[in-house]
Amino acid sequence: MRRTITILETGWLTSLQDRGRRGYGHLGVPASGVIDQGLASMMNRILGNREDSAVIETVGGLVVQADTALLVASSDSGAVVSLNPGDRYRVEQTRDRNFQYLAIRGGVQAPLILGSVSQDQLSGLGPQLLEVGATLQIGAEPSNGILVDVVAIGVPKRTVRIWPGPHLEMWARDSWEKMLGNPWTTTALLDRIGARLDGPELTRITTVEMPSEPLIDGAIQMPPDGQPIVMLRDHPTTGGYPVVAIVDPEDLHLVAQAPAGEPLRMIAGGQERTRQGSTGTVPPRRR
Amino acid sequence: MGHASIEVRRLGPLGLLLRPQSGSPAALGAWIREIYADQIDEAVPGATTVMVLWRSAADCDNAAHEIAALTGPVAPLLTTELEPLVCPVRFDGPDLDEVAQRTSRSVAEIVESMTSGSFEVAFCGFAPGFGYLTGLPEFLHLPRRSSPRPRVEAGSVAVAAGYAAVYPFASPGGWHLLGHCDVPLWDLNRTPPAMMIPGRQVRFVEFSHQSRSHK
Repeated sequence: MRRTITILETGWLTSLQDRGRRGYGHLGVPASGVIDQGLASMMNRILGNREDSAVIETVGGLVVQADTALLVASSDSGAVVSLNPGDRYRVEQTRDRNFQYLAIRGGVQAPLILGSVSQDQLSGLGPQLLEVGATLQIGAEPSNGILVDVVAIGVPKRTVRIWPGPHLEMWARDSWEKMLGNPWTTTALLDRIGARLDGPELTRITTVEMPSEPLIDGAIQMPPDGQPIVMLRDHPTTGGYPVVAIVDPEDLHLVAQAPAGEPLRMIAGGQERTRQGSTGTVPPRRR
Repeated sequence: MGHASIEVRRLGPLGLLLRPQSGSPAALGAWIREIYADQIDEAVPGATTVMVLWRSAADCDNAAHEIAALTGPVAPLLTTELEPLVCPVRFDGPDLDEVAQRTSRSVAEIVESMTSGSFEVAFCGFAPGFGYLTGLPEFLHLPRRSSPRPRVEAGSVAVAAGYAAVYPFASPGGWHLLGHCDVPLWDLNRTPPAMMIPGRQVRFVEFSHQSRSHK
């Protein structure tokens, strides 16, 4: 039997996402994929889905209608909800995080574009936009049972590990210590491409124009106005602003999940490696 | 022992930024994709560097030292050289006259200089399939327009910041538009979907009256 849901209201920054596409960056294709992999995986897991099943990511305000009997799990409540045909479900905003996940037992099915169903906000790449009236195909019931009826969802940490960026020497020597010793604050300027932060004031000592260089996820770009932007999943593959630091890949979702105005504390990632000279060049290993 | 041929910088626990001292970032990226194929997710060239994203921190560590120890230039071995891409261009862009004025050249001289040499895709970015082409004559190195256009048509042939490019999709854009090319640059039914691939040679030819009459 065909199992579907219909989008009644799209809400904000709503998109279909899986783990994204890898290996096309050199052709200018952003990686995309769920912003908060741990949370999306948890919603899938409690429904008995594969962890990497496609889910709907939203900041809130999403309303769907079940066209057939379905089980869903949403991170705004952490609960598994049974929907009958015609039932509506609304994903609410919550105070402690930005991005929510609606998983559906069986997973959302959509054609793979370059190996992924993810919708890229930057280029529009992806199989289907979640517009009002769009109908999404749901996969067959998995053989795994429902794990739990409700799961407690913790408040994401506000402490984020960072690493020295490749252009750190464009700022005064005390800049690394300033980044670690002062509070940062999230702003309302957030989408799937990047998160604008308020950070400590750093003194730029060189103002040379930079050529376009490849960007890594979590790169903290510093435009001339001094307002840092952290690169998230849909970031362009190259960019022309210097990168002052890099958010540890395991902590990147914490930046995206911190609501506007929330203080963030940056700590140095991997002390061991930092001492080996992560700010500078890597010497060949002696054999 | 010779000098290191590639400067290696870390980008967190899983990333490296490689700067080749000779040879192009495009060639280094293709080589990395061959040698470390089963260990990496991405090897993305930029104007002067290559970003490599590893799947494990241990592999990233090892590779950092291996690559830093290289003393000769590297070149991809397995990647077959792509046919040069030929782009027929109608030189009727809205900025052609202005560029002629700014550079004190005639329109004919600009067309001549765009079609006489060969370009190379140095790297991609901005949008899927958007290639930054090197080989632009010095006199056409202009900064971006002071105010970008909200919409630039797909196929627009443009120059700015020392590069030439063809817009694969309609998008906002701040480059100077010299003409138009109908070659589809992005096709998901093709492998790879992009025509502008780092390292590929690109030639612009003037769209002739003869070929126009076939349309």
